[in-house]
Amino acid sequence: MEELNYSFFSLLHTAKVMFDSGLSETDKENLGIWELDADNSYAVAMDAAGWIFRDTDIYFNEKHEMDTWLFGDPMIDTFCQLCQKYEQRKGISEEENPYRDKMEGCIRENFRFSSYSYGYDWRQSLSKRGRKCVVLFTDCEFYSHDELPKALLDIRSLFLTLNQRMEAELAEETRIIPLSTVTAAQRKEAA
Amino acid sequence: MKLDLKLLSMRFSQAKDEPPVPTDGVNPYLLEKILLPCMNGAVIYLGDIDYTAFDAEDIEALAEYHDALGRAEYKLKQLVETVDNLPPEAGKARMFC
Repeated sequence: MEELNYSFFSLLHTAKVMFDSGLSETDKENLGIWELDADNSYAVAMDAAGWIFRDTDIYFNEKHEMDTWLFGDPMIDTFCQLCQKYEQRKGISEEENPYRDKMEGCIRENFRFSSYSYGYDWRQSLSKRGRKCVVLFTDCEFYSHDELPKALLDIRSLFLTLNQRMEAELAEETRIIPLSTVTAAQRKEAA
Repeated sequence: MKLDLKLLSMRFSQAKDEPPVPTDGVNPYLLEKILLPCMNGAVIYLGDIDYTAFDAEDIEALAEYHDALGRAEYKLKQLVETVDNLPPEAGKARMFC
């Protein structure tokens, strides 16, 4: 009898989470070719990240032996654009935007991994140059790759939800006709 | 240290034919189609798994069952080692079967 290790079960868990998350058939096929083997845990996490956020890139810094994960996606670009529109409409700063606050809280909450050798950041301000993305730094002692897909799925889910809410809120506000544009004649007619 | 072979064989014959670790709470699909085949060296692809047959929480129970199996195996190996290390001793009187 072969003894199985922790990574075997975590890979099974990752696969279950991914298959239950509404992956496209193509992504399911791509995931399906992997063998349920503890050694594949890291590779599946890397692949999964690319399926969850379409424009994901991973860079390895040889000098510092560190991976930089850039999770980008059109939905993140949309989130940033909607945030800017929302802030202009409400006359508030980025820091005062409750949607940004929720999103940042979600990233903090989900990027709490069992191992400690990592850091993260996000670039969601349109005022800053460069790609809008969520960034994760992991060094060679980071061993929580199996926790990554679940965290990214939760973050993705909130991006989608907040985008819908912001769109709805902005659309709602555009339907309200400001009082100043109603003419005296219209008011008289309504009365 | 002496080992009573008669008592040992009696205990073995009295032992019930059941799994070494209770399988209560372990998802049958995961146990029979995933864990046991993989422990026996079978190759399973992620695409071949029926994800509707279990919940994500069942995997933790499966891992615990696997650990319990490992502990049972360790105890059994210890017994085997003990028996293996016992020096044989000649009987005081000749015995015939």
